[in-house]
Amino acid sequence: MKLLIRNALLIYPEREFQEKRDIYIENGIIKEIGDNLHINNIDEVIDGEGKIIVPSMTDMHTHLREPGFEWKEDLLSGSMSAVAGGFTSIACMPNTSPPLDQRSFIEYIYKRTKEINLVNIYPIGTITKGREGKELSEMGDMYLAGAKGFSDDGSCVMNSEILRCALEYSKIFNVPIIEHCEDINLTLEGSINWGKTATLLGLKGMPWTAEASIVARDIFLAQLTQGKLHIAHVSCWQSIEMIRWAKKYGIKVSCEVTPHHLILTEDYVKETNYDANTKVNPPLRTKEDQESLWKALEEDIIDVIVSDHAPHHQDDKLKEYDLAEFGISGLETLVPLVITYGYFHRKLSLPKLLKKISYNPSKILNIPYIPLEKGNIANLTIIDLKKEKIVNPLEFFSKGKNTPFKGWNLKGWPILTIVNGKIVFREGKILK
Amino acid sequence: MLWKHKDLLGIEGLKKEEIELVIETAISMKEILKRTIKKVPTLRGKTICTLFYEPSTRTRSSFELAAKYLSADTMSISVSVSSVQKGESLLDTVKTLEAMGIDALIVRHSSSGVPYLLANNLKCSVINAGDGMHEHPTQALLDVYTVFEKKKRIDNLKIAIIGDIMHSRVARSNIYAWRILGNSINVCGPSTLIPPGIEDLGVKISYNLDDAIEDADIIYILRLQLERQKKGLFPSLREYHLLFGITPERLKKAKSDVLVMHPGPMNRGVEISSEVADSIHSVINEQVTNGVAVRMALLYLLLGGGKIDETSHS
Ligand SMILES: [Zn+2]
Repeated sequence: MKLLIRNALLIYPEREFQEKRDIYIENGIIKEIGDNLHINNIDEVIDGEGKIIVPSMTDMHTHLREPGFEWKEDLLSGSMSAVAGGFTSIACMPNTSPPLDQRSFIEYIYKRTKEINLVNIYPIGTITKGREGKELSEMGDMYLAGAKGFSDDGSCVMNSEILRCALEYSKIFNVPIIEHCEDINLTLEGSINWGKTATLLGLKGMPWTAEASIVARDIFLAQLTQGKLHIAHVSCWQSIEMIRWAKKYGIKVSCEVTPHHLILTEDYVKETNYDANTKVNPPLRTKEDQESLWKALEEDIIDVIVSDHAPHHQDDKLKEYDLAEFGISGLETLVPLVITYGYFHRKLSLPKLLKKISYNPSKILNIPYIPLEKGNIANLTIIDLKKEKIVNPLEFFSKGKNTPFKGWNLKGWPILTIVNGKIVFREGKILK
Repeated sequence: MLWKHKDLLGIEGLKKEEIELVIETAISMKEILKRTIKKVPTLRGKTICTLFYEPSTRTRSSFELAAKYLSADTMSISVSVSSVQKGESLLDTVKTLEAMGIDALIVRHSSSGVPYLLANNLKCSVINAGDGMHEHPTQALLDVYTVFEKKKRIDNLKIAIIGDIMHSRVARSNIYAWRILGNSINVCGPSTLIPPGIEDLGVKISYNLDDAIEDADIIYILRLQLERQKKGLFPSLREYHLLFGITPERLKKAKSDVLVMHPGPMNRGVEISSEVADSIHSVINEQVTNGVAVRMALLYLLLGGGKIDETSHS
């Protein structure tokens, strides 16, 4: 296969740089990057006008639901969803049933990933056995099997001593402890941000304090232990200020944000009359929080953008708001949301934005990152900046159709994904 | 002025004229209630279903009587929480009911927002009979009507709402209604039971009962859910009564013609002393009677029954 893309905007997130060039890919290898390339016997030429090419796009926070909840998602549907969303790599969280808390489960994920052969899936193991927050999992054994980080995501490690040990112990392998920061005593039965909107809607609120107090605790534990801490889905300005402080003092902390926390606020729950597709954990917060997230993104206090892809069956969402499940099916809307709101609306630079969905997550998880360079295997995505489309969850490859963005018109969709040299997604179709 | 809504989901968003229309209509309904034979053919042929996921004899019988006095057929379904956990989803249940051909569904549920979910998915009228901590619109309308009967006006009043504002749908609906009608409201209760941002609804907050009820025209006392104490929201019933219980001495702070209201059922000796509950200031029994008239008015408005005049010769 000889593929020439003319005059596309090539993105080099690792050095926050972009340039317009031709790029020539032959049998999955980047053979040439330059201007007005002359190549013989080309199979296909793509006009790169209005298109960008991004290497190694990675979503480091997804829930693929296998094993245990395959009707919500499985590794195959999750993989298809990932490449349709433009990702060449994803990490999957271990809050499955049973949870990914031992070597055999980690091996299983790699085995299925190889069989499916669409996207690179990197499993995250649990911090504690059974995700119960009581005893450390066999991190070392899981690490040797390929676990790229550890997290009890979905739950917070409430016991400070256990988390201290996890941060201390994980230093042996130099992998991150990914924390879902939530003091559950403060959020019990909550389903929306604590505050005015919760009061108006009569829903039990989850205060920002539940997140920020644990962020602060975890940061001090990271300082104490010198372990690597990654804070999942930050959502309030107080957490941001703590992380800013920690970075200033050289504490090893990184963090991520989701598109829905960047784009939606608690007001949207009211506007949509209790549409449970707006129910997420941490909850959608205020305008003030949202502004602080964008600012932190720009200032690199926030390192990564993730989907927190949480597919659910319709039955888990089309129900009483307080009884509905938390989460958004996010893999297939992350890129157009980031392009529409980060690039077109907020005017952030593409390399800066895309670094948070490619280079940065790869470095945090220590997984392969393959830049756009002559001689490298092609592991890249073409995004059409001009392509506008209405979000239609029925077109999702994910089994989870739960999105609050249904009917939104977004601009900048991935149109072609090449994983490890193979075209796996093109113009709405999965290629196997 | 005509009623334009398919449903009654809450007081929030209603217009002043719409509340006044309900009151006007309720006046003629109350006439019917005063007759020896309390039955008119207005809603003959309509079927009204009450679906209660939370027990409430009071509200449910009020709705059912209202429907019966207007000659509608009624059906009532109670669902216990345990059977919800076992099986059929809420939407499946109501779609089944709709398939049987009901014209209005009156729903009470412990989850806030349920009436919205149902209204979005059903063609029949949905009436919110209380959803979680959100709203209880018919209670607020019957409260407004009761005040109208007693005071001959529903504006320029000073209203004190006392107790657990946080968990009270009655408080929210009353706040909306009285604000829409242009009244001033003080809310008062333990700070742990005052929800964040309530002041954005245009109410004043006080933790001091005497301040809150000073010169009040109306003292609206909320029912205290006794289990809140176990959750640590206040230290003891004894202390609650000491700080927030309405006693005859307390009443002296308010206007001499103050009305004392309570949505019932009361915890005598906790939020209200028996002397107050049975005093000349208390309109708690009238609230119950008026509940039927107001619900008749709403069913009439929502289901577009025949002219009320036609009712007079039945
Ligand atoms: Zn989480």
